[in-house]
Amino acid sequence: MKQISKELRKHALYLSHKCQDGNLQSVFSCLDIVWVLYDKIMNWSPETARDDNRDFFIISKGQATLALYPVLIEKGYFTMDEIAPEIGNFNSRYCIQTDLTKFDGGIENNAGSLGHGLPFATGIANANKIKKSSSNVYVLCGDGEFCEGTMWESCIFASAKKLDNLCVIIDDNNSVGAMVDMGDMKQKLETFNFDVRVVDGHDTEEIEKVFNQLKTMKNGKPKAVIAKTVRGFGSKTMTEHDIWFHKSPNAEELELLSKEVELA
Amino acid sequence: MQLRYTGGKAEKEPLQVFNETMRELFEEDKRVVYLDADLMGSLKTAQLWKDYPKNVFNTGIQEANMIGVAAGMYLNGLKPYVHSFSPFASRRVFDQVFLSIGYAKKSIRIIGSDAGIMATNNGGTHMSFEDVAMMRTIPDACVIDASDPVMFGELLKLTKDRPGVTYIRTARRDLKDIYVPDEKFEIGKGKILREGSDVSLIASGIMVATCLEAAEKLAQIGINARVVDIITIKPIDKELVIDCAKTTNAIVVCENANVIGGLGSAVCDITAESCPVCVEKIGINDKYGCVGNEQFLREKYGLTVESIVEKAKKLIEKREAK
Repeated sequence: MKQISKELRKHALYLSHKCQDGNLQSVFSCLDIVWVLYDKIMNWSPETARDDNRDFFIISKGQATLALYPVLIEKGYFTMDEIAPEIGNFNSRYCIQTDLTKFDGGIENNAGSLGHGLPFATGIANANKIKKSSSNVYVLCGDGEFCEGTMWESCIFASAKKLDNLCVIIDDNNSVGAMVDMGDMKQKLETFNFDVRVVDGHDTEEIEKVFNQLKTMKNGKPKAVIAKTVRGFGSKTMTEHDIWFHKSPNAEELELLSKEVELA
Repeated sequence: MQLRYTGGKAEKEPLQVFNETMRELFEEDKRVVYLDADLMGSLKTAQLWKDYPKNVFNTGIQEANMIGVAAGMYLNGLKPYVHSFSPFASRRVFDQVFLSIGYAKKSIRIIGSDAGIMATNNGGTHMSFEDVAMMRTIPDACVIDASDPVMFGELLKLTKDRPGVTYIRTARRDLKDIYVPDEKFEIGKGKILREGSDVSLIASGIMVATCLEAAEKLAQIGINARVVDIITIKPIDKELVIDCAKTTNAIVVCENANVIGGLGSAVCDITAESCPVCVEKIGINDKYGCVGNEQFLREKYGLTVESIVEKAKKLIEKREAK
């Protein structure tokens, strides 16, 4: 694992420890994707975070919000000193589900109730088309989240409106397998007229290559990236024990898990 | 004030007013958009779509997504009006409206047509009695039940830039004319349509015209009723409600919605706190909808002139007995 992937995971562990909450398995499965987007792909910087023509990152799988803070810290939008003492406090700006109401820029949407982020992202992309803006919209969804009807409703709308400025990322960590058999997601999305790519969601070079490729394909088709990921990736303990779906580390566990990450 | 209530059919149906008003808004402000979840046929807006393809969007049968899309479009500078039948514009999408619009500090106007019994033959699945109560619970929401086509059109315009959730329920057809075409309205300001000192009839939506008719009947038996159109159920005109309580010392509230959490509850909240008087609530008594025409449904649920007259008489007797 690259050093940056380790750093981001250690940030997430520390934040989860500080707020005594979080869905770390889910956070670890998508962290590398979020990082590549902010670091290599999106037209976004702390200075341009309020510009009309910025690229948008919408977190639809709200339970992975602890993946966003570490990335925004690394990109210099927040500092750890700012977030760590406050995260999880009553009325705090920093929660384990993003809450834009307390921010002016940087955070684009509220997340938590599933099936909200993709419709919202689709609306932004549609408005970008109307405005003839070059801005792209990236939305991170869970594979399980695709049980929500609104997700498919968005897919219909996005393809009917030819939103090739919309990129739907599915963090396919096989959550949905436990609920229902979703069948072949790639085929489904292709049927919805998406350009679909399947990537290793932990191979940052491959992720970067695919996002860059999709960005140039202005062909009237919305984009989807099915990122094959592993829940808890980067920590042996977390990949092996599903209790980490919703658990925060105590001081001892923090040390242990951080060490695991460092050695991964 | 000048009214043009005759009890007869309105000059324009609400759906015609909607079409005309949206045209006006599109011309005046390019940022106004109208989204419909495949009920353009019902609202006769297909031509509007043809004429304003950049302002009108049919999302297909996907109400919840439509609300989220509207939130995103608002964020990018547009002013969305969305439409569906009232249950699908409220109950079905309540979580989306509450979080993606209300909590997220966006601004949209939701038009819920076929409100209450006005869903008539579409029956129970399309009949929303709970929408008023639900929408009232969203912080800072504005909840309107259109009583007349002029009011409907004016409030569509008036709420164009209003922050937060604005919910306007209306009948698509068969509203009575009450207001003259240049009547002015204000959010949070009710209107006294008829003066009277014995009892106040406070109403919303289709029940306003019914109350005007009931007031005539009451006058014939020597009871002078004040008739109030509340205009906005939320924010409610608290001063006017208190004034009704003080002036007439008895209030009948009439609405085409569940009595639980509706206009009647809103009025009782005010009187209980500020000026306790006897209140009778006329509305749907905690029932589901069913198939029927307007007259049948009015009788079934007690939304009639007779029911208002009866309740007003009883209320006055109760007050006298005290």
